Amino acid sequence: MPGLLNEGGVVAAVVGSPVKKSKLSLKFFQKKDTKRALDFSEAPAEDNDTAEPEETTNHDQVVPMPCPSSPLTCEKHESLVPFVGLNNLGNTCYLNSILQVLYYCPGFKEAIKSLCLLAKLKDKQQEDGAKNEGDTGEDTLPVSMELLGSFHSIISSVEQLQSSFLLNPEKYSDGELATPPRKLLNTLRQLNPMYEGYLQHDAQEVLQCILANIQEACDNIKKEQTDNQKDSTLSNGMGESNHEDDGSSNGQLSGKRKSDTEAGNAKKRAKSQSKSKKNEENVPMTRSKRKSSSGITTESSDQRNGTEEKEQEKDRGSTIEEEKNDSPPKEEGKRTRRGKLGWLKPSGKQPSIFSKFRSMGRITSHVGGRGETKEKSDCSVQEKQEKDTSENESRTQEVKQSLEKNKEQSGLDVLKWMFQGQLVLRTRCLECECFTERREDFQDISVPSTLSDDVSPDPKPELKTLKWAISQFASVERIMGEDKYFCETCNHYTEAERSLLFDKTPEVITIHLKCFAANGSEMDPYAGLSKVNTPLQTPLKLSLHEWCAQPDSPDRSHHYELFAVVMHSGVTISSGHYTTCIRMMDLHRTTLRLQSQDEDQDRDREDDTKQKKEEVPQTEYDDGEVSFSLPGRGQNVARVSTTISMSSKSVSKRSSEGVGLLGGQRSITSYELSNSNQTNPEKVSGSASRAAGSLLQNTVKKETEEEGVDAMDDGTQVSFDVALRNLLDFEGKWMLFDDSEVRLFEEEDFLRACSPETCSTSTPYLLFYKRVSQ
Amino acid sequence: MQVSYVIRDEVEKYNRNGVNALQLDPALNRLFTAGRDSIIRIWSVNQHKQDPYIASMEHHTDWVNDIVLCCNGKTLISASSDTTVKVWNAHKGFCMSTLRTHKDYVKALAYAKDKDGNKDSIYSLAMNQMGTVIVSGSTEKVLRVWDPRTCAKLMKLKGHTDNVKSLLLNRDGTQCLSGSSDGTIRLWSLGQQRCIATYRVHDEGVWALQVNEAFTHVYSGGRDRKIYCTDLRSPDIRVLICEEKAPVLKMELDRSADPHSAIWVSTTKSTVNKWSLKGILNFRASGDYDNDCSAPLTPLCTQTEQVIKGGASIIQCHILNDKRHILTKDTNNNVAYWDVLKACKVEDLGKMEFDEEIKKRFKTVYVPNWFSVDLKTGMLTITLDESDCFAAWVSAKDAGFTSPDGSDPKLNLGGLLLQALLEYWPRTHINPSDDETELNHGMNGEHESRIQKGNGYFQVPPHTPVIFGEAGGRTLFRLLCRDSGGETESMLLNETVPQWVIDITVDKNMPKFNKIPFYLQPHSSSGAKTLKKDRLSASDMLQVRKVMEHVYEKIINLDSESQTGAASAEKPSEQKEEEDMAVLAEEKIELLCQDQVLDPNMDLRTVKHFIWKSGGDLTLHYRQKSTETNAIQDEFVSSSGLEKFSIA
Repeated sequence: MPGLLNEGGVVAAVVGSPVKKSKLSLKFFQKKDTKRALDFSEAPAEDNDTAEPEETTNHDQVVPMPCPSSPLTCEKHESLVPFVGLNNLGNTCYLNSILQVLYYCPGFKEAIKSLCLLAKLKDKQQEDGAKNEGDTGEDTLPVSMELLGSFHSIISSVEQLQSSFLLNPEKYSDGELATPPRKLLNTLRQLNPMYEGYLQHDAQEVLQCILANIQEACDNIKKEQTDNQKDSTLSNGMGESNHEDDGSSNGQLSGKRKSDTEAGNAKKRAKSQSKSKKNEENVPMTRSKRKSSSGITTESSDQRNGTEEKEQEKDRGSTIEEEKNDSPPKEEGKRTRRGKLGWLKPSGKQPSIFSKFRSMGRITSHVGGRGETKEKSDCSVQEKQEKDTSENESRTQEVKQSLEKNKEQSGLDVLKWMFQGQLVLRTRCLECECFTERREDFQDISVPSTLSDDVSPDPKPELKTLKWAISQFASVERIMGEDKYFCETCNHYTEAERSLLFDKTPEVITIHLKCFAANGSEMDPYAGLSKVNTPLQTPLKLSLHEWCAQPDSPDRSHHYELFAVVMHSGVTISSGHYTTCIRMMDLHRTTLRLQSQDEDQDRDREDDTKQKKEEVPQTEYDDGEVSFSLPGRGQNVARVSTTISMSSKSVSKRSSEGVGLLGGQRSITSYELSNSNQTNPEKVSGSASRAAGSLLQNTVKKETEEEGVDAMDDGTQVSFDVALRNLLDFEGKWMLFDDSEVRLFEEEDFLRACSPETCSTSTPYLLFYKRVSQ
Repeated sequence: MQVSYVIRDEVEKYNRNGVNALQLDPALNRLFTAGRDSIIRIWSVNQHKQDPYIASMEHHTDWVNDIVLCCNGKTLISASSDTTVKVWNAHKGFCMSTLRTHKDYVKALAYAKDKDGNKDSIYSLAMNQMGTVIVSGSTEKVLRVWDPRTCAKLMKLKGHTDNVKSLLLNRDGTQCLSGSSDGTIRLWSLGQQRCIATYRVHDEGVWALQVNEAFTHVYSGGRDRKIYCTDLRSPDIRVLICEEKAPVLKMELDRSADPHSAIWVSTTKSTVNKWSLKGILNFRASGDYDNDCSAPLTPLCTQTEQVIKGGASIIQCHILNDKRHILTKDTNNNVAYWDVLKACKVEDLGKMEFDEEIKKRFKTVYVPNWFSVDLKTGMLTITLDESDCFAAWVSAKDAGFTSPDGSDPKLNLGGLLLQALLEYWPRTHINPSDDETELNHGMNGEHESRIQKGNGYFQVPPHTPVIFGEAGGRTLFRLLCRDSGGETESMLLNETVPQWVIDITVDKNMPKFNKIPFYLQPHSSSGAKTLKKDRLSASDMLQVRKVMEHVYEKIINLDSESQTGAASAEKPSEQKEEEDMAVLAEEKIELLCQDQVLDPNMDLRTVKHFIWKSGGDLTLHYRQKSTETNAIQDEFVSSSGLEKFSIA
């Protein structure tokens, strides 16, 4: 949707400065030069409508304008809220909206961070591998890993920007609080060339793409871990199967055999990660703790890299090949509405359960025991693997609170645990009332948002609630008449009932409202999907109880509350605008974690922009070099490392440490920028800071401390408590993320926007519910 | 249109499968059982009688789902999954008429009126004795109440959360009892149009209900195999009467005494039991009125009072590779060996490992499918469909048949079987080409003997039921094999027998052979050049031996003939030469497929199925046996076809 008029050139030129979304383009002509002129002027309520016409006019596809009202009419001065927007990089609101949801998705941020810790080691290998192996460097593996990295970098830049703003709001009074998700977008484009150019895309598809690739990265890490463990057992020649033993032997043999140490590292990683996970559950984690664990990892990886590169490569060679086989076939540029479960591969033997709902047709095939066993055997390998890793992880935990929970949550399966549930398709013979079951994982559920012909007609279409939609999804189907069911108990064709139930419910349930209906020509798959603007009544709370296979299972509640909604405004899938409404939760946690860096951020915002501009020509360098080659930027990088080192020792004294870190240039944003500017696909942001950190740690520490003293005198300094209080004011509030703009959205307004009564073109498209713990 | 037949004994004295419904005729002391084996049986329930079996009423072709005795026991009405409702003379046991109004399984009867225009399947029906109210229970979980006199809908009663499988009405139609798959029994007041009470007695679905005249005590049975008696006024008072061995399908109170002395129970197993209720009052009196429902109850009866023994039903079957014999396993784990062609059991093998026996009887032979097997009745029902019925040809020798003239003709299994099934149908006796001559010259003894009845090789048992039905399963016509000579049956056959069956049975047009294309090439080890690929074609049951002859004769011999120039010297004794040729061919050359040497007795389809395995045309390689490799030169010439082998 929003796009710059002459897209290609401009975007290339403005790298480094926040690109405003196009809907603001009428107002802010000179945004490249300065942010001075920018103030956020639209009235919140009208936002979606007003956003519409501008976007569509600028869009390269001609799209009817539903409600032309000028944004200029509703100017209003509003102070910034302490939440970071994402700049639109040319119709990237589909991406921005999803990123915001994921960022605020409880536990996701932490999961990415810990995954990055696990992955960092691997990245290095990857890079080495790419250098040496040349040809094989182009396989899919590094890209998914890179996505992890880019995601991590966007998270840290958002965090830092936010804390910076919180602690020094005056600096931002006339500006905007946003960061461009450039690096992530680049990675995404590598993953799927479909995202090249500046076309609008489907938010649900991009969500699937991101999750699928992060999952792939997890699998890669997991594989590596198991491979390493295997290696170590082999090279030890003792046939040790016990991980515990493995660990101890590593200690003794370290430095002698590469594979041993690697396994050791794997263990450490697992340990630190599971530890931090545990902590998260109980007390708000401080960032410093996290950093300290990262320190360990970095050091060990460096050591190992120094000594044992050759062997690694060998290992990697084999791993890559294996993973190549596993990696899902790349999605082509084709846009199909079928790919509902993009990131999980059903065992392929039988049509997916969901085929029923894709086609809304009937499955007449008999769900026999044979299919089930096949499925079982299919997943048994994977289960074993999961077991292996989780065993390993759980063993390394010294204290276990809830073994099962940890297992599920720990590191690599966190994504599955968070987003993946299981459906069970139950077919019951009405004669003997025996039933067969088939299970399938799901990441989101696609429900109809309208009463279309092929959906079984509900007698009361006016009751179009989400509940109705879900029961359409999970409706009971009768197998009768001409197509009876062959019951193996009765040895007879009988009538049967087929129902779809939730067997396992995920922590976050994603509901995709199918509001795009194909109309007319199949020629243009993009424009052919027009939107059905009849939203469902969206409840704030949702209970899946009645669709659960085990409704009374005691360990988990089936109650959910809404925490995020991706709204779509516009008339077709290929046009329009995506925004995100997110309910702020657990803000206290965010704040505490950030404070070690906050002071770093509160420096001049202007410097920031300047630096950004300076960096524009540097995009071709890979980030490590950028960091050092730029005059004056060495410090910035140093700052990053300082943050890391400081935070690692600052577990107890966060406030004083915060003071200690005050000073100097706004380093972290630039660090982020250096990363986001880089184009080398083999680089992951983390590697820069890590490299810098390990090299410069000692030399810079003194410097920062001095600066910290200087900063103490800084009058603009806002106390932590105030900042925290400011932030906590927003707890439980709904925020509207509209690309770079973030606004408070009163709950009533939000509800009105979500309800069918408002005849707006802006309708909920993706709903995210999180589990309410009992 | 399909043709089916059932392989069974002439008299099936025992229920072969579960019993879906029961009716007692107290006047004659008879019990009617509606079997899933498609047979309604009449039993004497006089205790002193040694053998309770009286008669079978056989006309249905699928599960009999419900029966109702009416007109003072003179008439029995039955409903079946063959989509018909039949009216029987209950005393004499013959079918008086067949109602074909239904388009799907007929599940329940209560002097039933059809309930069309309802998309939910009705699983239960009840009508009060005065005939003023009808209630239906269906998968829509709602009870619908009708006035049978006007067919007006009176009300809908909501409350159950699952299918309603059993219904009862009191005499004046003011109260209704319903048993549902949701596990509850509900008592409804039709006057108040609401549920008065809900009884949670069973752990699983309630499938069968009976109630005393006074409508005070309900007997219930269902999926949990238990039968309870519950006092409707005080639900806490309930008695576990007995526990059956299988889910309870139907119960019938013996109303000859009040209080009722016994209850008949049918289950998904074939045995029907009578349980005594005599101790019920004492049991209750002795008992613990105040005991809570959760305590495990001890059953009133542990011994049945009377048993109508059931037979075993076939629950598993395996079609052997020759596509003629079937191995089956029944509920008693007995394994039997059947001949589909002759429609009879060949051998009882007794209790043994079914899978072992299948392995043991495995033969490397491939015959295409030409029939399908159905076990719904607990007996073997074989169905022939036009699409593949004539797919299987075998040589008479392989099939174990000898033809009068000693030759070894090719036989089409489906064709032979159809001829055998309709062998008594007069129309099949007239050879159409001779029609006119016969009419002109009349029938004399010569003609009579000349006209072949049946197929000339075998007969099926004359009691074999033959069923003509629609592909979906609706039965159009059922008769016994031997009855097709009867006047009525013969006429009905004229109307129903489909053309593809007429073709083979009346017009005697044998179907065409299946041709199989293949390539014949020298084996690479012989050093011969690969010749131009000629696509050959032959009957799919051509033996490898014949192909070897061809190779020997047309390729190798031609070659040697041309070399020696002694080609046409000894033509006269062709017959002898041919025999020699076969022997010679087998001695000198061998055929290979996928580098596997082929048994000369194997036929081409078997080679294709078991050795070639992949798609595409079969390719065979020939080579001389190792002892004589030197004799063969490179200049082989391939013949362009194998016309010789197309069978006359």
